[in-house]
Amino acid sequence: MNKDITLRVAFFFGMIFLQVLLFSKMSIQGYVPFVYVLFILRFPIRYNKSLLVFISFLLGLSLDFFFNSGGVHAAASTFIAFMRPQALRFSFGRNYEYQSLKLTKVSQSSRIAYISILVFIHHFILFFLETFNFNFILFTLKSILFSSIYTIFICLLLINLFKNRKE
Amino acid sequence: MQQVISYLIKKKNLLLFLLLMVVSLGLTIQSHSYHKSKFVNAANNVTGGLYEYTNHINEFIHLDEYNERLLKENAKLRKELSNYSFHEASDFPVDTPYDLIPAKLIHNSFDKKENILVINRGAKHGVAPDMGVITTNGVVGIIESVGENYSTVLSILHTESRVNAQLKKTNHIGSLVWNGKSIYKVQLEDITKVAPIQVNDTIVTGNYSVFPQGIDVGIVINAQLDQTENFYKIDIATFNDMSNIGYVYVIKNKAKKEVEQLLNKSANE
Repeated sequence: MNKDITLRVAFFFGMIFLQVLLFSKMSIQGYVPFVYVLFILRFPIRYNKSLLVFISFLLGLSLDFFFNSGGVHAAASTFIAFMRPQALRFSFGRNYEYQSLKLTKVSQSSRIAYISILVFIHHFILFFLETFNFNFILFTLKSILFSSIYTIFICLLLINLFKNRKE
Repeated sequence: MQQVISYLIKKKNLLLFLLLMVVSLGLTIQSHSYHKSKFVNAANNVTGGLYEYTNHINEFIHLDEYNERLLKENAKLRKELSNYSFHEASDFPVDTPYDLIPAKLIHNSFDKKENILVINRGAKHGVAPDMGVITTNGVVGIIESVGENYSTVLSILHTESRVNAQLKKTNHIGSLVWNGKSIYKVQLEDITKVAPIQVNDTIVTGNYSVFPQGIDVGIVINAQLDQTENFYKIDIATFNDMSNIGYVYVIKNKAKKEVEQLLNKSANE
């Protein structure tokens, strides 16, 4: 249990550093992947839901400090943390809570559905709050689409990469 | 009463969510309003320190390029100095109203609509809000928030940024803005239609800005009258490549305090 918490804390700070130092510099045509949402996606289901909402807020706020962006990452992260149970139910069926669900063990299609829903909602809120201007609506929609695809791709890659570690 | 409390406990997840959402939306709105002291910025020691640390790698890669730029600047300055010493009495003490604080850009940003940069000089080195930031090539932006060792810069590539600018050959002034479309082009507004403007004219900073008069901005690539046909809408190609900046100078206006005091005094009378 203690080791699990240490690992989570390390994952939290690791995601912030990787996002700032690595993923933010991996922009293609100005589209940046926001891979730190993987922390929220992979948060264990057995933990308290309020805890996840609060930790996601802290995660988003930390990134806002780095990106000088006010509270846009905090808002987007808090929202998907709150919406996560609904996304889980939609992707893995009603009784996901009774199974010890692991993202690495479910079928590929439901995993893609789960990640896509949350990443898309996250990026939607993020880019609308960041631009905050309806004059740039086309730019915003384009950023949402391409950045989401990029983020989903990298998240799937990372999940598949670290799949067989414990088996 | 008990029912209310038990209801609140049942809905604690929703309440926590709403509270945090209000906080983050508040911070977002604050960040979009221009010229306010912002709580969330990268001018603190933790974020600035990390950016500075990782910037060493970047700097190492671009070392050749920075050296070449410095050589060019040296050559230009030497040339100007040689002209100067011929014509002016050299023992006459020159007191310039501006000080330059050299700084390094440790975090660049140009792919958003509201771009904010971070430099590695702060209040300790004499940086204060509203100072101008330039490179050898031209204008970069204006200091926004200042921490002890780091500061954030409001880039000219920020849709809320406004800098006073003018034509180099005449004194027609306008304001420099950015429409958010291309990182190589900024726009000049409010130049009257009587101004003799042509493509390839040079635009420099004006007299009424935080910058000294005559700092390069860019050249005119397209000038058209707007709908009212009273003012020009001008596209300018910047001399600075905003995606590749490196070292900058912060301009400290020594006379600023005095001018402000005089303005306040005359406003009160």
